Amino acid sequence: MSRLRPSVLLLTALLLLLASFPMWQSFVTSPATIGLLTRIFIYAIAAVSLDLIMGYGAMVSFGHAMFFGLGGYVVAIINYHTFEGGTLLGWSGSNAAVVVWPTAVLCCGMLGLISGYLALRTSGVQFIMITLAFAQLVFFLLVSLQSYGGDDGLMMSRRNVLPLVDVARPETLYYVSLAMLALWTVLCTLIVKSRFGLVLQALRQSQRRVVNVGVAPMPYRLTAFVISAMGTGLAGVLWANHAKFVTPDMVAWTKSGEFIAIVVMGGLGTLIGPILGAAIFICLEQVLSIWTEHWMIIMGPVLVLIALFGQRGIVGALMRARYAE
Amino acid sequence: MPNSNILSIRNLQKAFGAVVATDHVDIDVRRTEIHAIIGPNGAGKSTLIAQICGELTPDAGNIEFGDADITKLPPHLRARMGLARTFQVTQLCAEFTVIENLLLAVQAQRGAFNLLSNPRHDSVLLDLARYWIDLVGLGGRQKIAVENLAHGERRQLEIAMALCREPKLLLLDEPMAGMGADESIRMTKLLQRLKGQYGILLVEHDMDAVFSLADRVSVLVYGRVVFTGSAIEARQDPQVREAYLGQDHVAY
Repeated sequence: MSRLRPSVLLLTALLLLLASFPMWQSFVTSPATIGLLTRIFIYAIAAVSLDLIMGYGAMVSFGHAMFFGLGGYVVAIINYHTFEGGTLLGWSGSNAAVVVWPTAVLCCGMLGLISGYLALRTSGVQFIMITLAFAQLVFFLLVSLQSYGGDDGLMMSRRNVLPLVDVARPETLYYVSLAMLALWTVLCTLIVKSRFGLVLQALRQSQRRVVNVGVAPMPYRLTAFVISAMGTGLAGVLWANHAKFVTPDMVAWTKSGEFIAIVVMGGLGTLIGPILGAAIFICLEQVLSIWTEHWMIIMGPVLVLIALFGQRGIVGALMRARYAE
Repeated sequence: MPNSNILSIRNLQKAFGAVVATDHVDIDVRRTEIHAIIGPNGAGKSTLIAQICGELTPDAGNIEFGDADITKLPPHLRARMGLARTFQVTQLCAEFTVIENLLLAVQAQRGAFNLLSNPRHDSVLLDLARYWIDLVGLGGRQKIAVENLAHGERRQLEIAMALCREPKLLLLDEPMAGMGADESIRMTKLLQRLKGQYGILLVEHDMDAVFSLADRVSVLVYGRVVFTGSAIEARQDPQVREAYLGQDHVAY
């Protein structure tokens, strides 16, 4: 518990700071910063989700962008049918977030269930390859869907509507993303600390031990994978609403790589770390890409250094510094 | 029925290519006895253990546990039926504390698939975990991470994790391996206390431990059981001496 309290304080302080941001942002920065922070929150939701399986379950998914992309595409496709394309399998569509968002997240859960079930029959490098293969499958499927824009992607004419709040304003989407990130992180923290989480982490350390206390690994790993897929799908849903535009690039393998990089940079198995990782990654991307379009030349070595020297990323380094005192 | 069999192995066979690791093995373990399996390196002891707990599938033969044929059952279901084991190389969650390891074991048959309740705050689970930690002599070490435990303490913890599930049969795979003399004696005393409460199949190299603990001894050589009998008979049997104990142990 002594481990928990400082992080709760930190989180609350961070939340308050970020919640009050639109009030003081006009003094300090441009509205573009709101967009930047919204992007950070959305990436952070995906990164926290990936950390749940990668950091706690040692399942390195190299295909998590498929859930990000699918979440976004489900939102955009329903949007398209609601406003332009006519009915979708007889359904006239809906623009209510309470209908569309859960639908998208459930679709991601289904894809997670199928791909996870097959991928989890293997482990290690094979697991990485199968998740990657599934993501490539989804990528090329989306590219070939000409009616939904194919290569060019699909525009959303307007954002989904939430009750009580007006998401058309960027500030509102900022708050919604922040709230989702906070809720999702709290939920993932509860899961990690639960009985389920204990088994999930035990499986990472000694599968034989877990089996020999009478627990079958598959249901635990698969459930974690599906939860992670749904969280990443939620990030995709928010992204579609943020950008009002989805492209097959959301599912590109480089996107999956970015998510892994964010988690590793921030700190595997910390949940808070990936949020920090997302912030640093996106800020670095922003700053470096102003400076040069080959920003990956700088980002690459930074990632390599962190992977080599920071065993638990930035958060891990901070924690070590505290213990060293 | 304390003298009925909890484990019956019949005509078990397992080969890896041309190497016959288990050759028509018949072994029984009674409900309250310690049955030791001894044999030189490469005799097939580990292969036999792996087949009993389900990590390996035999080529032929049967394994009966209680009244059930478990030959084809996956390992986690055998564990649930009351077959608990310790490992030759300890298998623990190294990053977890002692109590977290125990919680993992005690929650297994009390609804582990729960995504919200924290077992570290569950007084029922905690009490159970503490009871078994104390019983094996690890009281006061609860909050220590397993990676910081001494070798002997890890073995004690494995025994606690096996016992807390209230098993019908304990498979102890070389519980004294790598232990110092003191630790070895402490472990022997612990096993002495458990004797009579569980069926125990003990695979062990430490002859002092085997002869002071075992009710019966089976000797495994090249995958075959060449002798089964009481510990006293085993010491005197010329075949056993020659096959296993060798020249160094003639003093027995």
